[in-house]
Order: sequence, then structure tokens, then C-alpha cells
Amino acid sequence: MDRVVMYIDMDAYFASVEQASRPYLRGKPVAVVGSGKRTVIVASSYEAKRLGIKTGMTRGEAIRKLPSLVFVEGRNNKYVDTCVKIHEILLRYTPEVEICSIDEFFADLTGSLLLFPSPADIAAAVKREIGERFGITCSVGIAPNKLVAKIAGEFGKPDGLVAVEKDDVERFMEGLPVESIPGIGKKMKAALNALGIRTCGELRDFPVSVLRRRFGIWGDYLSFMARGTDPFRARGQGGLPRSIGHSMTFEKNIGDRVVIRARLLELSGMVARRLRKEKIVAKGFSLTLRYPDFTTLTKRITLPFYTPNGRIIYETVTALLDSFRLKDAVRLLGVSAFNVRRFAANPSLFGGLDREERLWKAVDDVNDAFGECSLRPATTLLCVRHHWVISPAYRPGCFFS
Amino acid sequence: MLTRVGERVATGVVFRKEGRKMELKWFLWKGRKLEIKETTYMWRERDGRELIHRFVVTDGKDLYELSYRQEGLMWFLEAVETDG
Repeated sequence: MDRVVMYIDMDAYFASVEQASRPYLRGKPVAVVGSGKRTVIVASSYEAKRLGIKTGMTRGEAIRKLPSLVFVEGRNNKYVDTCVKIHEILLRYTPEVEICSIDEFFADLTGSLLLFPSPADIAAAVKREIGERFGITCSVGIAPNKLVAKIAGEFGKPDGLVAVEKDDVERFMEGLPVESIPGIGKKMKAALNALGIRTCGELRDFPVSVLRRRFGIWGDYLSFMARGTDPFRARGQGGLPRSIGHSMTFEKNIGDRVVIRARLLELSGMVARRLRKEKIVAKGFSLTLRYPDFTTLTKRITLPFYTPNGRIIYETVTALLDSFRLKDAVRLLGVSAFNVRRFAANPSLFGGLDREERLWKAVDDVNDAFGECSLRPATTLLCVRHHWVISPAYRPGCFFS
Repeated sequence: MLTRVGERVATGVVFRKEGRKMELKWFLWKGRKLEIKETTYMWRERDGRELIHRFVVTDGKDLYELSYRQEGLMWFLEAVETDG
């Protein structure tokens, strides 16, 4: 039986949820932001997008571009819960559902086709139920693999349903611009354009040897993808995220290293808590800082061992901080963990970490019972907590289990 | 305009589908009984162990955010939002 994959992408997700819950916002240009004055736009409605509003713009930039823009404070739990409910809808059609991010899902329908008339019928039923229950729309792509399903889903945006049969894949891909392929950004597009390649058809017909010389192993991947072949191993239900990170934009720039360190302790604790919740460990960590002129610097380090430990993350990123000669106060700090793998408990040789692991287990238990940050390091009392809004790339775990 | 309220309120609710679906009918606030015309959105969130059900409802004019705290079986009017 040929494989059938369905890709579901919610249209302007955060903004659509806000428009659904506040009827007076429907049809208006809406931008979802955090509560601070200096937060950036994390999502915008199609009405706003059409008028030039983009994710990542500051409030000031956006209001200058579009004075009638309505700002709405994001509600993380609202989006996470809706994502969980959409996941539950999809699980009624197949157990093979992967949550890629808070507004994107892959569902492998191969084993479900004996139970339902066709993939398009399943897609139509899913779209209808999401529309009726949440008042929002989604775009769906159906294809023999995840790559083409995603491209088809994006092709039909907004509110589309595009199905590509196995025999039609090359024809479907042929005329698409190369940037339709996920992973091809501005730089790669420019590099391909310089070689005279503008469409997937041209990329497919281009000699692989030349692509390999120019882009290394990515040359082979590009050639595969231009044919509509997915060169990457599918990520299953228990798939690992590529990275886990948190960042904060502050109300006022921070120049005091003591306060910066306190913020890093807070961010490291948030990253460590998510690592522990998802039962993964990481050995790569990065520190990002942004100056008031929006110059953004990131430093990364890979440790010789994997850890979910907040203290080690904190010590690692403060070492990275010490390697910076700060030229100004900072407006944003971010801590990320990458190079992750599943946690496998190892007996400790020296007992030291075991004690600390027990401590963090106790802290997690208290916070699970009484709410986030009920128990936290006293140093973080230096930080004024503020409401933050998640990135659309956030991938919810088992929130209500 | 959004105004935070955070007051405990009495509500009229119909439970359907063996308690799996809640339909809000009215709530009492400032001595007035406000009839709910539509529930525009609902979601759940956790505050530690406690599960909170949140509802955005309208009386046809303004929007109200109500929350139901499952552990204490209490309803709160969290916020009122008026257009403009």
C-alpha cells in the first residue's frame, strides 16, 4: 500500500484564535504580542499580513506601518489547549500523528484508508470539525511523503486542501519556486539563483555533481527534494525537538551583570525544566543577546557530556557571557539547548549529581502541584516576572496528562 | 478595552453529554443578571494541580472572561472587554 501523509497547518494560528474568541476583531488587522511594551509581533492575522505586517516587527515599526493595527496580548494556554484538542481530533483518524509545532501536524493515513473513504474525505472532515469547534481555518496537504505534503499544504494557504497523487509529484513540483522547499531560505535561494536555478524543475535537472561541489551533502538533498523525494528520516511520535530554548525581551535595557546573571539563571531554569519534562538531555548550549540597536549575537558551546541540569546550563551560559565584552546594555537574552537525546538514567559514580537530581525532582513536584515558579532560586527574585508569549515553533508536550 | 475584574460570581450552567460539555446561560455581577448569548471560546489551563476551565462569553454587547476552578468548584469573572 502506498504511503499517504496529511499535513495540517493552522492559518495565522494565534491571531485566528484571538479573532474567534473576540468577534469584534474578525476582519480586522490583528497582531499578537506579549504584554511588555517592547515585545515583538509573534503572529498576525491575514488582514495584517496583507498590509505588510510581519512576525518579528516591534510594536513601533508595526504601528508606523499600519496605524489601524490592533494589538492583542497572547494567551499561551489558550493556544496550547486548542493544539491539544486538534491533536485529539486527528487521533480519531490515525494513531500516527506527529505534532511538529503548536500549529502544525503530520498524520500518516496509510493504515486508516481501509476505514475511511479517502484521504480527502478525512481532510475535509478534520477541516470542518476544526472550523465548527474553534472557528478557525487550516490548510491541508496530502501526498506520499511529509516533504510534498508540507509543500502542498503551504501551496493551498489559507484554508486550502491540496492532494498530490504519487504519479503527479514530479509534475506538481516542477513549476514551484525553489524557496517552496522547506529549508531553502533567502541565502540558499540566492545561491541557487546564481546558478540559474529558479524552479524545482530546474533544480531537479541540474547536475548533482555540481550541486554537491557547491553545497556538499546538501547538494544531494536538494536534488532529491526537487524530485519530491523526502531524504530525511521521518520523526516518529516520540521524536526529539531539535532544540529547546527561551528568550526574554526586557522592559528596560539591562547593563548590570548581576541582573543579567539572575536573568540567565531564570532562563537556564526554564530550559532545564523543559528538558526534564520532555525527558531529554542536551550537550549543546547557546547564549543569545541583543543590544538596543538590534545587533544580535549568539555564542554556542558543546560540552563533552549530556545534561538536563539547570546549574550546569547556567554555569555554561555565564561562561559564554563572560567571553563577551558587552558594548552596551542588553534588551534581550536567550538560552537554548541543542544536540539533544533521550534521557537514559546512569548511576552516578560520585553521588553528587544524584543529590542535585533529587533536589530538582522535588522542586518540579512542588511546581507541578502549586504552579510554575512557586519554588525557584532566590536569586531570580531580582527579576521582575512578566507575562511572556510562546513562539509558534513551540511544540506542546502532554499538557493535560 | 480590557478591564481585569477577578471577582467570584454565581453562574447558571447546563451540563450536557454526561457532564462533558458545559453550556453557560447567565451570571450574576454587580446585582445584575447577564444573559449569555454566545460562548465564543473555551480552553483549559493548569495552575499547578488545579484544572481551570476558561470561557469567553458575550451578552451580545460586551465580552466577559469567566473561569471555573475545578478543585474549589468556584466561578470567577476574570475580565470584561468592551469594543473600542
